[in-house]
Amino acid sequence: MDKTLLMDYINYLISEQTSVKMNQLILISAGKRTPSNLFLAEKNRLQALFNAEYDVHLDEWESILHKLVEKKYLQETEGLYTGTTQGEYRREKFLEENTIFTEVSSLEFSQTRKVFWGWFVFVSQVLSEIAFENSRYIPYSSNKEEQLRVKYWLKNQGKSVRELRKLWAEEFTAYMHDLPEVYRYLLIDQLVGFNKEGLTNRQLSEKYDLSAVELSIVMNHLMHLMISTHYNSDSLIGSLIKEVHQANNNGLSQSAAVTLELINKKWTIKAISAKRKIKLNTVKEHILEIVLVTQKLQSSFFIPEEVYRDLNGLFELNPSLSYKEARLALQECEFFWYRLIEIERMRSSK
Amino acid sequence: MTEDVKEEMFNVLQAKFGFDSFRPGQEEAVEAAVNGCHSLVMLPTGTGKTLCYQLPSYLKSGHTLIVTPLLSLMEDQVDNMKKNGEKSVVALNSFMSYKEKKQTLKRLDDYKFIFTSPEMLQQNQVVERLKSLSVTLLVVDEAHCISHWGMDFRPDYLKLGEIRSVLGNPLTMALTATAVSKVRKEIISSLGIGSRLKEIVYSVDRPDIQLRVMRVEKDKDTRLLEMVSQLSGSGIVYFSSKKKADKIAALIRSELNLTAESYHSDLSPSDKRKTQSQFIHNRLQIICATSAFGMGIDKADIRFVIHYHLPSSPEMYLQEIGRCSRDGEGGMACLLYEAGDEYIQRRLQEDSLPTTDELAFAYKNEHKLKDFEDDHKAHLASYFIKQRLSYTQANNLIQERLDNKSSQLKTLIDYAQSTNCLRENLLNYFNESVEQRKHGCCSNCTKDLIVPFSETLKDASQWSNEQNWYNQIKMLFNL
Repeated sequence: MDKTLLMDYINYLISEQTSVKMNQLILISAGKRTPSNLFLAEKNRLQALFNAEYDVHLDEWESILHKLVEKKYLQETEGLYTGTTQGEYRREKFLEENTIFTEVSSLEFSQTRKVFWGWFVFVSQVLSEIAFENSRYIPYSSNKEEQLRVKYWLKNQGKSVRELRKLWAEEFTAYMHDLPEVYRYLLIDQLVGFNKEGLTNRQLSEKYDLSAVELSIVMNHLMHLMISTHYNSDSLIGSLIKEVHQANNNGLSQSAAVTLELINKKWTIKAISAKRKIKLNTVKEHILEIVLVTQKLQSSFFIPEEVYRDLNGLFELNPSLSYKEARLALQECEFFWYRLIEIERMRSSK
Repeated sequence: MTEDVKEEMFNVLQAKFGFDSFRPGQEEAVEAAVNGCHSLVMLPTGTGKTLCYQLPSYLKSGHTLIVTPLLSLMEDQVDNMKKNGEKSVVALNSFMSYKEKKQTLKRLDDYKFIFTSPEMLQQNQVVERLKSLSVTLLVVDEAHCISHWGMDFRPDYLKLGEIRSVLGNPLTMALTATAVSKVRKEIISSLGIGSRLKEIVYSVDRPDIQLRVMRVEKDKDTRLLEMVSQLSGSGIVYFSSKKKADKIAALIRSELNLTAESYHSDLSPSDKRKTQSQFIHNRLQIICATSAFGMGIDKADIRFVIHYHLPSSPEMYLQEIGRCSRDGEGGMACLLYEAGDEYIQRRLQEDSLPTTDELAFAYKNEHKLKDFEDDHKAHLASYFIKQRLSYTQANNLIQERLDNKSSQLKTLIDYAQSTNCLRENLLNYFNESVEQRKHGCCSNCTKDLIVPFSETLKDASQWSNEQNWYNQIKMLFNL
């Protein structure tokens, strides 16, 4: 495979709209769930990188970014990296040649993308072993909770095992049809089942001439494709994706997920703080996380009507209004409100 | 034991395990449990200790609680029992999430076999739940961990006697593969099973495994490759270093064109499973592993075990080489030794215990130890403090332990340098003598030894990667 995949991929991530420091790229890749990191990821359209946990060392980041600047694909000003027209041209060429790298526009599925394939392999194993009437096998997943979830998920499909495996194979085949051939084999080589052990990451790296990082980049995007194709469908794969997504708090941290449950029950920020014995600010951070990750909450719901109107007015006059400037004009303005409106305006301008 | 009970025992042996007869030691262990005797069972590695407690459990009502020290081993044991058809089994360990643990505790009486770790038994909630069940057999696996003198002393194991008493002193079976007499005495006393006890102690020797030492000088990699190229069948090469295991696996692949993979704690759980599975199904000939590999591996036809580095003790060495030739068809164990190899092991041993300064720090800053919960040295220091041992007493214990480790290592160095019978040398340590010599015995007894097996790797499963992807999907789901 393409030896420069990692470099091209980083160039693909950093567009002309991006303006980030190297450390911020690392924090975004690490999936740090602070509101500022989440905001930064969305603002710079780095949703594909968020929480991917690519195992790229600091000096490797430095070296790649340096090379991209040398090639004039990126420009660097005071530590901030931005794409160039030349970089954009290279990016387009890369996307033409690598059709699996479609746009990731939300932070919601970052965790599901990472774990879904493991569940997929496990379900495939169970269906394969059942197909050969073999009950004496060691499950691919050793996680008891996952084993139980898969067991109940299979049961809840209300279909015979024969139907299930046929449907599963059909849906998987359909998904594979749309992939470049090399990726079809990359995926099938990882499956385990009756008389099939599957290849390890090292073996895959060797066979497909991909480094460990490149392999995780490819898998991240193959999973994005699978999730975006099936999440909103009634397919069996879609149902498993929903199960996995739910098992992973629908993309949220455990604590933010609890806060969301209470918000859905119409609890106020104050009431949530009192009930959960957490600071008001923590609840606000949860709300920012929920807004940034799931896009499910209306920002205006949390901002006093007057402030909402005045702040929007200020932004109309000055689109790059800073919080400091907002505070000068509206003394009672909380950063939480400022950030919510900033997110709302950022999204509506896209 | 009545004839009826005996008949039932054999019926279960056939029905649950598919065997008509027991392996040496198994019948005595099962009988002891059926007759209500506590037992200390010492059977060599690879001779089926699981059956010793699993079978009598079927003849008793109530639950069998199995305490096992290594979490990975526990997972493997549970998976293997499930794979072999026993579904009423659960592992209660720290891998579980809070929710999972809560659910498992709630449903604990649904399980006949409950595996847990000594650490879990320190939790009141767990002990209280176990108290509410009828534990009719308590099994202490790898019981040598109880002893200060054992190779893997674990402080939490020392509290098992107390736990046993809280659980109403249930019938107890202590299992080990390698324990010298001093260790066996400490196990019995610590568990409090001295009365009505049956000791079933079999020789640690495995005559069907040929023993070899290869002394090398700066050309270990080359000599190892030469040896591996001449061996057929499945094998394990053990290392003390993960990096070295990776490097040699890569060399075996590139230089010898054989299938080899490394196995150690850096691998992801799914890669570990795949590697084990490939090895069990003969898709992989050689595993280059650290000691993380082997305990739960259910593969009877491993033909050779090579040690690239010195293991930590004769007990450990016997355990690791015992993984070959479980089918009794013959195996070979070779220790590669280069003068100075002992330094790596000595450093590892020193690193495993707190130094005088570290212990002094722990005693002065007890409150800070919580921050180092995952550090085994801090854990040990914390244990000494909780036991109200003075600093001097604790330090003396550590020094004794270091001396003991050092003497164990010396036994292995003597073994590596010996010109006398290797088997005799090893068995002397366990106060045993050689009863049987097979396959030329060892590299000191017989010049130009021939390996006691000739098989090539058995056919791997009939999966074909040559097929196109579409057919592979059809094959996988039997469509």
